[in-house]
Amino acid sequence: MPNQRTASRTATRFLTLGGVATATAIAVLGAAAPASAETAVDAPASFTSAFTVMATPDQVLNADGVATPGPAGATGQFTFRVNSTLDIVCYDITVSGISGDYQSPAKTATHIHAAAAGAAGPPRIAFPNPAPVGDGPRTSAGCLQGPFTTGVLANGADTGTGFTLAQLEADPAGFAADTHTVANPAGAVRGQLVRVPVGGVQTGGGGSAAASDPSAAIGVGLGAVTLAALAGVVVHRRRAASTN
Amino acid sequence: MTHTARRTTLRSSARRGAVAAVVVALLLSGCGARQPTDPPVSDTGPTAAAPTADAPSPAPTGPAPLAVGQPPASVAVDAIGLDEPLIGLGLQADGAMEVPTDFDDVGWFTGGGRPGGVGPTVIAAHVDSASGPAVFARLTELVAGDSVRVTDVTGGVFEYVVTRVGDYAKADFPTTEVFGAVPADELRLITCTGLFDRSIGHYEDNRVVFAVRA
Repeated sequence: MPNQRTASRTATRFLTLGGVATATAIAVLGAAAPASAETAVDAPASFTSAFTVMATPDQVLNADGVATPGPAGATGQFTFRVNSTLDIVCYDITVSGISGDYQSPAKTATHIHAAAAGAAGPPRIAFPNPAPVGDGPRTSAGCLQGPFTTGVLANGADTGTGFTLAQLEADPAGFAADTHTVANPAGAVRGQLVRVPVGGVQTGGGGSAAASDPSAAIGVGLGAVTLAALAGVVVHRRRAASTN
Repeated sequence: MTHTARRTTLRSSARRGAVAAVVVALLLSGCGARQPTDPPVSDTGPTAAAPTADAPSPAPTGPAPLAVGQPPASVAVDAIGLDEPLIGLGLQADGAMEVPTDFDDVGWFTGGGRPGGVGPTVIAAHVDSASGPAVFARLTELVAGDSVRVTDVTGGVFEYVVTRVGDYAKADFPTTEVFGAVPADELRLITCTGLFDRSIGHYEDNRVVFAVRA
């Protein structure tokens, strides 16, 4: 496995640094390369839900739940499209107004945490960090399929263990998205998930479609008029019902 | 129209919205009528354009929270002779956005942004009914540079300018562009366009008008 090879090479380098450093390196790398990590996948054909997050510095809390604001003016826009049947999340992240590199004990520094507004909580998903690192806007987009791991252990288990995207759908407000940096290890920006619509918006009955679609109008003639008249009756009944 | 009269209209519209919330579950949804029927789910469910409590400010010090805004009450577009009150729209059981039950109603997504706050305020209505043009029949005439006015429930008026329009296949709808969080006060107006697929009773595409605060 590539991860194991990388870990092995890196660990070998650390071996030259002495016993304590070696033990630390292996422990960290072991946590960062779990056996059943999520996989990057293509976007599924459909989604069951979508969520967006307006992440701001004022919403950041440290691990003890104490307000620990990030840099003024920073913003994070996270949009997640979910297919909970397939346990796939497609993420579209833009972070602006932060500087410097990322920092987190998890395998990446950009997360969804199980954390309601005003509360701290463990990471459940670790996303690739928005790039490029620098003073300009940073972006990250793609799709991941569970089971998820974060690289953070709590009571001996990865904090992603047992998490499924169905839990997001059941209680979006119980989750927050954030990203952590060297300058702001508690988080540069954070915000709660808010559910938004998924897919298109069904805003037409087709009554004027024939006119706007010449190819459809040809040969339809009286049939279309008849259909429209029948549909009109249906609409009339619906409107009557809606006033009851 | 006087202020009082307008508010009366809003309340009437609000009642209509509440009734529509139930009726939509029984009768139809959106582009036509073949869609179903599941009752709306969600905490954002169909509510009328009534004020709701804003989130409390969490941080007494440091960076200030972003503005939230007030619920919108009406939308006006002089370029197409539109001036309509708004009803509240939530989510359907399948996760899609609710649409007005009445083809003459215009609605806003209550789980999204609000005028005066950050995030996109999303407004949608039908381009046509099964029998002819509906309230957003002329939305496709809007072009970049056109002006849109949204009035909130407190009477505040917010002017937006159209920056671009786009047609998108519903099967590949740009959720992030339309509903995704943005750190600015923006507006989206949505209706149907493109070919009408009679086999499913829906248009294939959405027209989305993108606007930002003037």
